[in-house]
Amino acid sequence: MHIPDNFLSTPVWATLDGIAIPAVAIVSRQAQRATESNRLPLLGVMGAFVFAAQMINFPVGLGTSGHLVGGTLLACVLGPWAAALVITAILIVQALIFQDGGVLALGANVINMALIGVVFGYLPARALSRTKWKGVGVFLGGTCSVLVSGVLALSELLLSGIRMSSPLVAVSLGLFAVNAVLEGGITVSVLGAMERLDPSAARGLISDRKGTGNARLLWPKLVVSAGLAAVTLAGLGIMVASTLPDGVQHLGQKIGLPLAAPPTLHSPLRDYNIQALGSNWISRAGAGLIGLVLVYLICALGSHLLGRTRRSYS
Amino acid sequence: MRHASFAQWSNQSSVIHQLDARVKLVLLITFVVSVALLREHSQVQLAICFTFLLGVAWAARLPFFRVLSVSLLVLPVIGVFALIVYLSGDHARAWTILARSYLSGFSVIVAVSTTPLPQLLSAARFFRIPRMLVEVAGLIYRYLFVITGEAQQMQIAFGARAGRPGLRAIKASSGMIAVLFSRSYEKAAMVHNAMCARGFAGELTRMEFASLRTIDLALITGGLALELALHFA
Repeated sequence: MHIPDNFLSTPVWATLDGIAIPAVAIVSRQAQRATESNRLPLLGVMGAFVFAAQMINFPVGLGTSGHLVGGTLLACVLGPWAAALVITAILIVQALIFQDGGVLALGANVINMALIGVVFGYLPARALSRTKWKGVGVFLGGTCSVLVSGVLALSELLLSGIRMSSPLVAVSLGLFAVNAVLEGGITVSVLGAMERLDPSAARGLISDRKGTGNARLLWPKLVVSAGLAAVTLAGLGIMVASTLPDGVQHLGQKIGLPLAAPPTLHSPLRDYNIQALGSNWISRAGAGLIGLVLVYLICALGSHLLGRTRRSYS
Repeated sequence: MRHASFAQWSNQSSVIHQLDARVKLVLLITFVVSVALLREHSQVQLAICFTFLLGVAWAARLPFFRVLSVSLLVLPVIGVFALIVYLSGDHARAWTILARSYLSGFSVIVAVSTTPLPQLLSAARFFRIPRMLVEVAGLIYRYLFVITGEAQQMQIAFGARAGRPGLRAIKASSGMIAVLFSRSYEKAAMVHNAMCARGFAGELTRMEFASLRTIDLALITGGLALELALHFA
């Protein structure tokens, strides 16, 4: 995700550098305010730690391995300002010493990974930190952080006029999604192990174990509201949904991709319709609701498995 | 290791090494910008830039072939991006981007090999880069080797115990990172105590720069003029 020099067009890198410079100045000032002087060595050593942790590979099967990116982990341990500052410093060292990421593209890389990446990593983790779904929040944070950074990098390259075919964009997004899920899983797993090993050391978010009364009362309401909204959208929203093709399909039609080719697998919910019911409103709404239930079950199963992984450390 | 080589090369005493870090930082940034702003078909200018960097490396008495081989290590990273452009059918642009990116990477390698990183960071501080950012980057560089060494030892130990893919391996890797975190945290406390013992009062002492000499100003002016001339050649 580190964009090298010369892949971004001049207006793009210049604009992003122009945004990143004052943003980093603000982050630096806020981090200075939020950090006691005795934590300065901690920030430096934690930066070195993230570097080293990135060297530890997680074997994920099929002959591949992933590694920690660390934005969410740092945000959970040090807080968002300090984490953004440390990731910025890491990016500078990576650009200078490892030639990983360009000097002119530093602004873009800082915005993608150190600023927006950390914010998207921190917010879900912080929102659920006082509930029993803390692990899910951290997982979502890690996932969002990498996914958003990747999508931003891709968008900047596209904005710079790098022509990418739709399949290539799809493959890139798929790889980002896989890495994002991996980052979420690794972050949850590492924080679990950290809590077990040294609970007092993990300051900030993860030390905030006790849920407040307000958060406990708010949580069921949030779940019920989100559930109702999802069911309404799946059941009724389909009536007002557009029947026009989406952006990728439209682009595919324009450039002549064989989108109408016969499918390899025949699904009972093909084209968001229950095939057995034909193609009417009930069929589409039913397909939406079945999809919703399936997504819920997958998420519940994922959370359950993650919870088991975390509990195994305690 | 690559960065260990840079640290070793940057502590020499050639003419280039003795130049003011601020001059080198200004020339590095303007050089990279200049390369980025070259027109599409600028093979001659790119060749001139490459020759210039080779000349600087020679004048700095850097181990020529080792520096060149290290610079080639940037190719796999930028090669992936260039391949994407190439596959999209824009062959000429892919080659130009590859050449420019390589030159940018090579110029950074030459700069870092002739200037110790703490000096470069001090120069950045001189140009009003936020204090805390510079200090944290300096501390990361200082402890990078120590903690990376520990991580490598853990990896070797894990490999020696026949670590295989699967849930157990993921747990073991998580445990390794947690242990590394715990050790890093302890190390940070020790570092802070040691710094306090040496009079640390919340701010690291920074390198004081003398006023720029006439030769330094002449170098900056000459360098900028040459970079500008590239665009009119």
